[in-house]
Amino acid sequence: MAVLEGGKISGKQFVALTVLTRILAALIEAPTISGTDAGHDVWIAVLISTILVLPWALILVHLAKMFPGKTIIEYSQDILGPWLGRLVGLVLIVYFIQQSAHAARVAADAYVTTIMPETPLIVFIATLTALSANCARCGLEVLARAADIVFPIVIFLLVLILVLPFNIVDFFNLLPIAAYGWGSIVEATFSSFAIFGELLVMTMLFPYLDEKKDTGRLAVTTVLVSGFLFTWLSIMIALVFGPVMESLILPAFSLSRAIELAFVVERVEVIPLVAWTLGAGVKQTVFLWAAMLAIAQLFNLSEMKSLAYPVGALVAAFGVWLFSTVFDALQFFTATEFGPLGILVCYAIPVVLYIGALIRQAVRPSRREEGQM
Amino acid sequence: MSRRLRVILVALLLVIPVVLGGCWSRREIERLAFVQAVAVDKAVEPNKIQLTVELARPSALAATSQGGGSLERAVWQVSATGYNVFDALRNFASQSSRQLFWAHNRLLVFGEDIAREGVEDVLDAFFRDPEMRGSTKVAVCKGDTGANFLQAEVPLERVPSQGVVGIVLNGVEKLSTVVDVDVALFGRALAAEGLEPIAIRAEIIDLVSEDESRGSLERGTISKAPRITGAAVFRGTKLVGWLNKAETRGFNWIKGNTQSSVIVVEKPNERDKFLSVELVRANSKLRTEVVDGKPRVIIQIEAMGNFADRENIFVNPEGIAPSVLSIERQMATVIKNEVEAVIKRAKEFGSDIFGFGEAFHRFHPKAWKQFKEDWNDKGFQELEVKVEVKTMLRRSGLIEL
Repeated sequence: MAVLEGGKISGKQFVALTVLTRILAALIEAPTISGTDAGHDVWIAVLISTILVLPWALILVHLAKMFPGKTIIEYSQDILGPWLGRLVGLVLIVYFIQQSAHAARVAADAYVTTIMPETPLIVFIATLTALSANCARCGLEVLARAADIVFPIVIFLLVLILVLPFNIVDFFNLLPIAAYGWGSIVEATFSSFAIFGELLVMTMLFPYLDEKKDTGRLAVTTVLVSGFLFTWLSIMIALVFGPVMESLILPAFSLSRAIELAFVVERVEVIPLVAWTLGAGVKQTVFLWAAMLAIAQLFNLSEMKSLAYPVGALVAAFGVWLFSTVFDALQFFTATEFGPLGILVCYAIPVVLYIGALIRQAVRPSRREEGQM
Repeated sequence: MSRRLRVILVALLLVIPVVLGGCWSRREIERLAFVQAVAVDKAVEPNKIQLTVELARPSALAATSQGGGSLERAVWQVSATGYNVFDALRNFASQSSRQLFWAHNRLLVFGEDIAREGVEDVLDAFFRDPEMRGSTKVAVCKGDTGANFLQAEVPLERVPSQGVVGIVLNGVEKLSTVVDVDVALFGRALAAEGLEPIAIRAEIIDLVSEDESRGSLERGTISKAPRITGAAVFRGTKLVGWLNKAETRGFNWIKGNTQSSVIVVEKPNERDKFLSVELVRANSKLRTEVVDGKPRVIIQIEAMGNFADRENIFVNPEGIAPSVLSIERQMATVIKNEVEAVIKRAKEFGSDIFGFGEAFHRFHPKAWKQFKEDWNDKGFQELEVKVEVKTMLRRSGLIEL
């Protein structure tokens, strides 16, 4: 079989790619976990979900170590057999395309809500998709290098909006803990957990790491760094907005608008705009690339480059079709909407695969020994 | 060469749409009218509100910057009505040749009438529209309409709202007898449990100014000027009353908002002779307790001041140490009286503007559940407040006490 993706990425690039993939959610929906009403306690939910995600990330790492050089699409066929495995692959392809479209859509929605209300949504989606399809076409290495450049910029901008409002924070806004009851925190944890599932894309990236032994450390770094940034952002928004926090649609944007330092540093809302443009670009491209690779592997194609534009077109169309209103978008990851489905895809599939792999491993070695003898 | 050309063309093709995306929402600056202030009043028609905006006139403003003392008014004031803010805003389109641009709006003034009836129908637009800023100041015009307040001008400034905002900032920095409330703060108070909003109290005063034509027999003309003192107290979205200067400073003592101020005290051992202390620094601590199911608040205020001026310069029969002590004690009394006065007033209004309820919500969440329902009418009324004031006289300028 031909080599579909010849690129190699360094550990640093891996972290940049995966953290950037998560940052879009941080900048747009996650800090208040829209659709749930945990209010200022959201940071607890984010923290809990970060901790809950760690074992799952280690499962992904272990799977990658059990099947070196293989993506989840390939080893799911090894574990579950060709038919069930392919079904899983199909589900994952749909998930990757959905995530790619979701990235473009939320970023486009955010532009329309904030600065360009008259511009049709499709213009933003089409533009973003054209860029990311081109990038994905060039392969993983180009994407990784792009992420390498973008990563420090985005982190810098993010830290800027996290630090600059220091003069308007009120630490007591965090009290009382669990003001709206633990039920709402559990609900928010669920949503946050569902959003965290996007790190499933790591399973497509692991085989292309140049240093295989660092895999576990890198995955944990990604989870902790993104979890830390999310928690910090949630806390900061609570400190600044207090009881108003719940009703914010674009918390990071509102946070940047609240910045006002000595009549000099103000009206800096362009900061999150730049950050979420870059974040959306990387996230959309990563998932587009993952979808292309998954399709090529599932259908035994000889190359994946030519998939970029068709799959990109699919992503753009999906992006337009995904939600009809901003309210749908806000509730997307709640327990009553797509949260459970997201958890099923991102968490249940790898866990089932892992259990399957362990069983196979327990059965296989004895057979191999027989064969050797 | 042709390959390079192709690359450039493709790159252009990719870059241009990125910029083009903004074209739908483009706004030419000569098509915009910059809103400097907005007043919200009840309209003559029932159920409608009237919005009055103060728009900057670029031509008039440009004239001054070039040094030519243009006598034109630098702003244009225009009103429109509608069933709600958004409706009224759009109705400006039938009178204004330029689109209203809100990002530079500094002031939102409510007329007393509409504030008493409630501003809940009015506020939404100021939070929802991304063009609106949270830093817009919120004021209520006492005894008049907001539209009339916008007519009042500070002769120092070309743009009236700039004058008003300047007074607010001055008042906060030098007097501490005003409150500085913006839309974000007002909204926060509305959203919070156990905290009622407060707003800037604005008034219109008469100002006698010299007539412009010299040698004329007329002595002067009377114009309107703004004055900012005290505060407007809300309960929910309804205006319930006013705080005077001393009460407002009392409010600022409690909230720790006092920056600088003048404390006038009677001279030790001399009636009707006064000396003043310049406040340098003050801070406050709030402690909440629930004793036998009853809420209690302990406010600790620390104030530090410099001796500023007094009658009978160079004469001080008491000696330094006893005078300092006595002045410090009197400062504490003044502060304590102001704090107690404002709490009494707020209780009369039935409005917990201090956020004592919020403090209980934070530090005694369980007890708060019992108070929550009728906090303003019951818990807050029964609230026992203990005020502890510590004062210190630090310096006395270039001469001795």
